[in-house]
Amino acid sequence: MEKINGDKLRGHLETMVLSCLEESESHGVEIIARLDKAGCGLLKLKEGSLYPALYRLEAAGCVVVARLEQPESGRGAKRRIYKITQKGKRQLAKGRLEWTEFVHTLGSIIGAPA
Amino acid sequence: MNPELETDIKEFGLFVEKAVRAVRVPMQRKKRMRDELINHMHEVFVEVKADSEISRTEAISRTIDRMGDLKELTNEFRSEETLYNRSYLLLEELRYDPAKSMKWFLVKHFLIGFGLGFFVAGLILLLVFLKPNPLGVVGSIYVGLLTSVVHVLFVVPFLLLLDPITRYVNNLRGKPSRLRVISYLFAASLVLPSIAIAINYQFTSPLKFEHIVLGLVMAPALPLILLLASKPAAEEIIYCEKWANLEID
Repeated sequence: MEKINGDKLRGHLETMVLSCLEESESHGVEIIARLDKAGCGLLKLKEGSLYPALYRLEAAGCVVVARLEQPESGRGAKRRIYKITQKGKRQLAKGRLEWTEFVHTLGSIIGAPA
Repeated sequence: MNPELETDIKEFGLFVEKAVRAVRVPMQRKKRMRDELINHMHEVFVEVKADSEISRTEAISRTIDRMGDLKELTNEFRSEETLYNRSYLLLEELRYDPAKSMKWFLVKHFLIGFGLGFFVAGLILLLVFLKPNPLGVVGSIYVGLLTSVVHVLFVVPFLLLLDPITRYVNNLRGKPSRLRVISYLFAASLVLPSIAIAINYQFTSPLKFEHIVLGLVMAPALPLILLLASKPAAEEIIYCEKWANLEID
């Protein structure tokens, strides 16, 4: 099956990140790993874009930095562990609803023979 | 610094700096972007290198590929250029940067000083107009003028002297000679007594002996503030220079 690249994921990244964080708080690399696992390796994310997305979510009050943690390697700056907020949970529910409507609408157009 | 980490910074640093340098946000915000991207790239690199039997160069190249398009990333980070971040950045730009023109720094601060003076005087005049008080019109103008004088005589010397004193105390590149630093500290020690004496002289003419004593007691204040501020300032200088020295063009 063809991989789903970053362009096709545009506009959905924030909801996907919130969905990951709903499971448990996490840092950037782990969020990518979870998305990759959930997408059975078919998602080809532009990993750099994760951080602007996290900053947008943070500015909107949907996620917060729960704590700082030293990476296992013990090198470099401490990494930030992000946590979903109540507002983020509401945003996620809204995102899921929009996604369902989107799939339903497009499914009825693309899925059905003309 | 760990030599291995230094190598990583050189290899991934260019990518990160190309993505971040053009983004107009305060230094702390930019530091966070750099730290998170560098950490991410390092962890991806370790993962790529462990999973496949590929060369180090190939692993670096794959790590960079996984981060996505540079220009797109810069544009995404530009969403951080909010009004708050831009205003904070303006405040950061009020500092003295030895790489930039001293004339512009002085002009800028004289304008700010007088602007502040006008603002304060205007505000007090407005209060006097709304509810007359003993300060009166002349007193309001005097307080406004005093605000300008304090800015020009205290804030400007502090900002000007912080960089050379920090470089000398922390033995950083471009540090001035000992004689120059001593003369700077001596000049700094005159700032607060001059302001204190000027204020007291204006309010309670003629000048009394205790005002001179007060001035002498205040003399070490600015040199001490400068010495205390030199440690955090040094960390910032080292950090900024490390990234600024990366040639990204």
